[in-house]
Amino acid sequence: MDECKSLKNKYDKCFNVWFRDKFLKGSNDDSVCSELLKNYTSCVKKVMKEKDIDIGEFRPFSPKISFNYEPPKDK
Amino acid sequence: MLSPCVRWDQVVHGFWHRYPNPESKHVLSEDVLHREVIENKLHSIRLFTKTNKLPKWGERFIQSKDVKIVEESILDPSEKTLVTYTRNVGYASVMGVTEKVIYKVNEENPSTTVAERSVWIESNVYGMSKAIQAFGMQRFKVNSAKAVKGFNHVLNSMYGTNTSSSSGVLLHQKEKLKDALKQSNYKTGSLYVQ
Repeated sequence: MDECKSLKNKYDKCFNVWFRDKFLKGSNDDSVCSELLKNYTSCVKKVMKEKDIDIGEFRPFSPKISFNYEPPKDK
Repeated sequence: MLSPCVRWDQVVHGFWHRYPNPESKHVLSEDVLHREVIENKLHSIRLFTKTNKLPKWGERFIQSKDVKIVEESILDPSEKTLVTYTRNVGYASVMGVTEKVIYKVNEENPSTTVAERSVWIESNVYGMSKAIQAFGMQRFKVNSAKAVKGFNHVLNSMYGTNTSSSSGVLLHQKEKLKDALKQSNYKTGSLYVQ
């Protein structure tokens, strides 16, 4: 969302360094960017609300989203 | 088809930098909705908005000018896998398209990466399902080719591999698409292509 551009840029910058230098090297501590992420995603959610962007069936990490999930092959 | 040499860690790094690229002019926005590490795996949910060009008959069902895409991904750094689920939201009952891609180390050549793609399409519009699914499949193939080309462009510019020719594909694509439309005998419901 354009409205959240600067927050996004700040967060992306933090994430990229964390991802490359920490996460891929075995660290799971993601607290370093968590504040920036929170500010950024709150902005996105606010804009979505204002623009009436409804992603209805969306819910974080629905149980069916997992490595092994496959859709039903027959109905 | 296949070619040089993008390691898995380079691919997953590039994955977060896919946009913008010359093939992505239809992508209007890209945002993170949620991200957290669960059991050593990085879970991310991103939202994309894209322009939505529809055939005439589609306008009867769908008014919106752009389309929202949700991408859920699970990245396992120890197993070296990235699994992504990408689906449209908002009019999923008319035509729901979900794409699953697994990016993993190519066992035959560990310095390269394999992407396994599968797609399924669902529609609940009575009597129209087949046409909608055929349309969805066609649209998927076009978009998928674009996405792969764009992603390769990004990997190219990040890692400077020399594959600027159009035949240069960095990721070894294991397409699981085949013409399942012909062999299926559904009326409504889901179509799964592997």
